[in-house]
Amino acid sequence: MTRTEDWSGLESAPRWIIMATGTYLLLGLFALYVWSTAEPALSIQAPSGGAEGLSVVGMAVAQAWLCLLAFRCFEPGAPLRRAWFLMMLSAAAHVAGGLLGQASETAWLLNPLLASARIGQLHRAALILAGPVQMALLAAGLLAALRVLGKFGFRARPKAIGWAAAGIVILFALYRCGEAAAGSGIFLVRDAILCVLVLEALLLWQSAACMGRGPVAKCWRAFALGIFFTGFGEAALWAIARYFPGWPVAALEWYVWFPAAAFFALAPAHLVAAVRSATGRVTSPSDELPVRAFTPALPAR
Amino acid sequence: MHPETATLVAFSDAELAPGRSQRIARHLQNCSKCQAALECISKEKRDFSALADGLPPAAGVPRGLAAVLQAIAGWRQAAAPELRSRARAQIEIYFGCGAASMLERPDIRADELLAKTLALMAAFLGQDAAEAAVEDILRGLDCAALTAEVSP
Repeated sequence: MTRTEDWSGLESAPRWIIMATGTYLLLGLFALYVWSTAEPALSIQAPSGGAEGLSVVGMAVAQAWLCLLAFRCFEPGAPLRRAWFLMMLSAAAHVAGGLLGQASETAWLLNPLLASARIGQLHRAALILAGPVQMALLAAGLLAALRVLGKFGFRARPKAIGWAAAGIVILFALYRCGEAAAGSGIFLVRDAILCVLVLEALLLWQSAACMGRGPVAKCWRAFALGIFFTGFGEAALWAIARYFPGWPVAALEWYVWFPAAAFFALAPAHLVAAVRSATGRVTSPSDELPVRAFTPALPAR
Repeated sequence: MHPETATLVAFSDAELAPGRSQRIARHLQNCSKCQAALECISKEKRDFSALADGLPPAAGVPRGLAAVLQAIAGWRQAAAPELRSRARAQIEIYFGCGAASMLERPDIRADELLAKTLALMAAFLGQDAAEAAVEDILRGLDCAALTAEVSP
């Protein structure tokens, strides 16, 4: 089967995302190594965390764009169109919340928002957008996707280890809800939605396992991994703040969210790459099709 | 650019997606060649339907139509394994071996497998990708030779 060259480069989007994530994490490890070895001799200032936050927002922008492309692959009324629309909105909420959060947190003298009396409200809006809103939209989108997967028979009972992992995350979320520090409404809702997302991720993982190793399976597997990494990130941040507050372990905070964001971007990237691959094939001349035999008297083109 | 014959057949059967169907309809308004092709397709479909209903063939229909139908049946039988193998390959490429095994029951007919492949790909990759994949499956499976063998 012959394929045309994909000049737009979207077929290689998954590879680019994996490469960017690998480079980012390697550079982070290298910086951490340099810091830990040079710190006794030199005074090195810790970054504010803004660079890490922006890189996650950058990956969310890529996710939103790829979700838009995936959404446009489906005709109106297609069952997965609604799912991709919700996931696109989820990514957009992540971008909006991330940008608003960065703008309201940046302690730069020329930042006009710092002087604003509504900075607290803006920060809260950013937390809501990038937290419960983004996660709720994602959960709704994945639920729609799970329905379609189930309709086509891609449904399997999760294994005991999957239930155990989901149970641990849910217990952790419940425990954290009980803590005074996490008692604010935003975090309560966020943790509750995270529990739903983890269960969905478990089902998605099993559905993808039923399919095999094609790009469609990889797409849903990437969503599941993104959710697992989000849960892991929440647990890691909690553990670091509680048990390992000092360096260098605390530096892991910078790199916890990027892999999760990368997996969320990787999911639509796999789908878009698969669609490009399918539609990018060389179209056959009509006289090769079997219908030609039914229409021998057709005028020549 | 003129639509392919397969696309015109799908258009006349109202099997195209709404957006694509509208594009073809707009093109047909301005293209006499494609109008003639569509008319030809419609006429032949009517003739086939008449034959299937046991009615006498319309005037001008080749006398070897029954032989052509026989050839088509022969082609279906001959091409079925290849069609099945290609459909399975497409599912494996985009979904994986598990999906292919789940879809390809031992008793499934080749055309049924093709329809399921189309439905699966349309659901998960969109209509355009599904149509492209089906075109890929059908490419080269020509029954012209078989038709020639049995024609009077």
